[in-house]
Amino acid sequence: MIETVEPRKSLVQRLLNGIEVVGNKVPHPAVIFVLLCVVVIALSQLFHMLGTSVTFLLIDPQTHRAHEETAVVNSLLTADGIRYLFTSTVRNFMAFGPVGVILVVMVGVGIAEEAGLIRALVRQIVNIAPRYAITFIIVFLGIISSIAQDAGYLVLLPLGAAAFYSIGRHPLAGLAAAFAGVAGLFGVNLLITPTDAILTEITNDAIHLVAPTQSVTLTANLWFSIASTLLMCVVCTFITDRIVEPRLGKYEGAPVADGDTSGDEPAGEARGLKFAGLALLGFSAVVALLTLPPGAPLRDPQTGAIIGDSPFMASLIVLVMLLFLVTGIAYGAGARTLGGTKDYIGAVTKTYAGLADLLFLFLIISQFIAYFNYSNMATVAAVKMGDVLEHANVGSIWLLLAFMAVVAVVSLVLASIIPKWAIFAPIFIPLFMRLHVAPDVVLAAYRVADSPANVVTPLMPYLALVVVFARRYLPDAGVGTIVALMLPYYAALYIFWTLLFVAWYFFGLSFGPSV
Amino acid sequence: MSAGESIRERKTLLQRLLDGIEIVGNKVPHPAVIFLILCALVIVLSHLFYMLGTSVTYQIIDPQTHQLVTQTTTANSLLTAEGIRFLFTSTVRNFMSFTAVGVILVAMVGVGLAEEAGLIGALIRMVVRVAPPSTITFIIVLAGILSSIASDAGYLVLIPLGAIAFYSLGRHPLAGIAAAFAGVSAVFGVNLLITPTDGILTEIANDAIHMVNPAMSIDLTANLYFSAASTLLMCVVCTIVNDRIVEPRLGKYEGTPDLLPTEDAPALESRGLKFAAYALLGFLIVVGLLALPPGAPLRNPDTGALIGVSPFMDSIIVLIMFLFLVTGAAFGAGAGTITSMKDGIAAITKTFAGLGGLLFLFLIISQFVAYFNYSNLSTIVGVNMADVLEKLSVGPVWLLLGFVVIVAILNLLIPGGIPKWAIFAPIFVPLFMHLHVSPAMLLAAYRVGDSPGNVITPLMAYFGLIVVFAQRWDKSAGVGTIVALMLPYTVILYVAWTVVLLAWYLLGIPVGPGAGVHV
Repeated sequence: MIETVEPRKSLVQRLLNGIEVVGNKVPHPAVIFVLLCVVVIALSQLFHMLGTSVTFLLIDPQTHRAHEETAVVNSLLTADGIRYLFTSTVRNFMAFGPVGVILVVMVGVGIAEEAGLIRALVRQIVNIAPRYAITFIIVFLGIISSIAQDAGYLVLLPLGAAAFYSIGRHPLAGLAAAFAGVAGLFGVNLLITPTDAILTEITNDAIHLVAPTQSVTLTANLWFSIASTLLMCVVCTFITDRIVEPRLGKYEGAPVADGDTSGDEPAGEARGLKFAGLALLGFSAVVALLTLPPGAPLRDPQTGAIIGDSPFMASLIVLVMLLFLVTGIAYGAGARTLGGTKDYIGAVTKTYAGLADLLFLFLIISQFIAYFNYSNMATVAAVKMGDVLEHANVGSIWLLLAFMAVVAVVSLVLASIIPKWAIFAPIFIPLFMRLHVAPDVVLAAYRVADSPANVVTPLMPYLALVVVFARRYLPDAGVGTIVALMLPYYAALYIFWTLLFVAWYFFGLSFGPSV
Repeated sequence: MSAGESIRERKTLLQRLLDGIEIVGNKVPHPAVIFLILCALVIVLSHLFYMLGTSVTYQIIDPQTHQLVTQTTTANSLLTAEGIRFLFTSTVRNFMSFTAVGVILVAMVGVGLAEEAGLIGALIRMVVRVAPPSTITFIIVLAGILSSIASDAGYLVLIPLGAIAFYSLGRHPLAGIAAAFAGVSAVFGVNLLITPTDGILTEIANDAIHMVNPAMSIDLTANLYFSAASTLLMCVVCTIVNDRIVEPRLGKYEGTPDLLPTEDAPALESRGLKFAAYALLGFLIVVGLLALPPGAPLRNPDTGALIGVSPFMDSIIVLIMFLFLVTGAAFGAGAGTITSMKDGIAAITKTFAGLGGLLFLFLIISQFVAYFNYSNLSTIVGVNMADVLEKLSVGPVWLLLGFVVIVAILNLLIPGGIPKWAIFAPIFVPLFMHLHVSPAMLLAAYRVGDSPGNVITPLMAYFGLIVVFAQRWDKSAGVGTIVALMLPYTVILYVAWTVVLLAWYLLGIPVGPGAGVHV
């Protein structure tokens, strides 16, 4: 028993060492995107000088008739190109949808977080859950937590460990279960998350490269996300209880610091939750009144539709923001954690300050995307790659699998879900559209391939935090400990989730409403 | 002795006045709340005027045909089904079309790096060090005014330095604080150069202009002549106020500083400055090549113009960003303050983190501006007010004077140039355009009304910081000390600057390249 565990660990350790050395040499994402900007500028000039052009069929948005279109590569180093580089910077940034989306949503979520509402909710659910279901619930909460961005890392991980410890199980297994839920399944949720909004924006930007009138909605992957959430939650529960925890054995140490947070409810939490419940009721009533009656303002004024291309769907970002804002303020008032506008403004300011590096990254990503679009290289590359793949007669399912493999490999280097999609969407969305694979299918494939790597790559910013949490229970824990702990999830999630995706695709199930 | 008594009496009078201001000031909510209330107000008023069927008929220049057409505008309610749809679906769009957000973030990439590298501090320190003692007041005030190019860096860097410079010359350190504070804050709205704040003010002005004339715009340099002249003239005014009024009243400094600050110039600062100078040279050569030769990319491809409607003018924010980025990085490399990509990114991240409050304010202001536009209330108010004022036949001079007074009063409650301009621009730009006063002239008047009050209102964000700086030299210093210290600047600046403004208008001197005082 011990012998089989021992060599596996050292093998993993050796693999890890290699990853760490390479990982330390990978520059900051901001630098990667600056380099990509330079590459785009250089390549655009190269292809411009080569006179690269493609001729392809394009559907005219006005007449909806297909016609021949020729696209040439525009150089960013001609007089026109240089003018574009210098005059477009602010415009490029302001046209980058994710910036507005995240800043709007985080007003509400930031206040809910600072008020303690999100923590309180998580704590309540862990406290009232039956013991045998605790693993499932922790993983599940981890997945759900992605609606509050990275709050799950800070709140749920220590809680998972504390919860396991308090019921006599190994705390690292609890940590692993929570981490698997938060990071390994970051890309899906039962609900629409702010990340969905950003992915949708980027997807639409990519779609508009070839079809300016087509769009996917926020809910484009909703059915698939819900099914993934539940099924992968079962997979993670099984891995935790049958593989990870038996291997860890019985926990015999003692927590270093007081990591036991399961019991200490802040005074006023119950009152806060009651207030928040009432606020939720009121909010739901108002939204229902604005949406449900025939002719309600948030229905489509022409068709009366609620789902699809309706004002309601266009309002989701604002509604998510208001939901957290209203319940967060109510909780803060009830629990007396936040009172007065000064506290609320302080909470939002603090949340925004925490988004600073993301905003800077967005500033650079938005330039990259704009340069790439200006150069026409996405169109040219997609047309050429599509031609090759069409002639190669490879079925679209194999192409999807190849796409997923590429994403999975890149995820080890570039962990964050948004910058990667910003690179892949403009290349692969037009390509797959030419092969009649809908953008929402590609996005679903991307979600499957993106997330599991989060739990094992040392380049994921929060991995260091996980190590710190683990050390509360195991003082000599290191990065290797965590990677060894999480590797079973990584492997199992890739295998089963890909199977789920392939089955979904083959049975032609719809990935979300109205697709 | 009687002089001393009169000073004491004046002080207590000021103190009492101050107490009143403080009480009122503590009751004024945060600007974010003010704008939320204004949003609610616009929503309610829009519905009221919609139900009353308010409409105005006026003449407007068609941007396509450039012919005068008669147009009728009615109030749009934000509480009809259509209005509610707008409220819920436009939030993100409203924010993303508020260009000030992009302008400040882009500019602060460069300025933030230069600030963190220590370049801006080094430049200011160098200027103070090489100046002859007799001109030190003038130079500190001027450096303060110029520091607004780096947003709020002057508050943190220059004001403590002003005190040290005065102290080392045997003068009263509080006079040094006052001189630096006057330059940084009381003349914040103008500069010899284009600042990021100019970018934001111009954007807001253009949004307001587009309500009445979508084809017209002012550019970043619209107030350049007026700003440059104001910088120099107000610098002289502040110097006289400082040396003739403020310092004699303070008397001789006899205390000892709490902790004697040493001029802690980083050891490698001169090496950093050398590197920065080379970087500046390289930057100027590249920009020169891109802009100066005939047919250069940053000239207008059709007219060849460099100033006015040209890619060069559209690039100024980006060029400012690169200027500071390049020189800041070079300084950091030379001085050893920023040596890796990681340091550079951390510097920018830190700068962005400090903008959190401003971004949140922008989010709310952008909604207010969008709601106000949607409701058409600004057009209706502007047309009606203009009608009334035209019939009253009060000259534009009196109106400009009234505008300066209103801005000055409001500045005591809402310091900071941007939020106030966001309220005033949509109301007054169209109004003054009806009276043939150019938006650039109005913006110049706004700058006059906006800044001098900054130094006496405890609502100004950095006011507490100034008190802390003063306490280093005088332990008993408080808010009242600073207000009493700065009041002479505020009063005299308002009088002198308004005189300059009105003279400028009456003489019809252009306020910037291609920006006359009339439309």
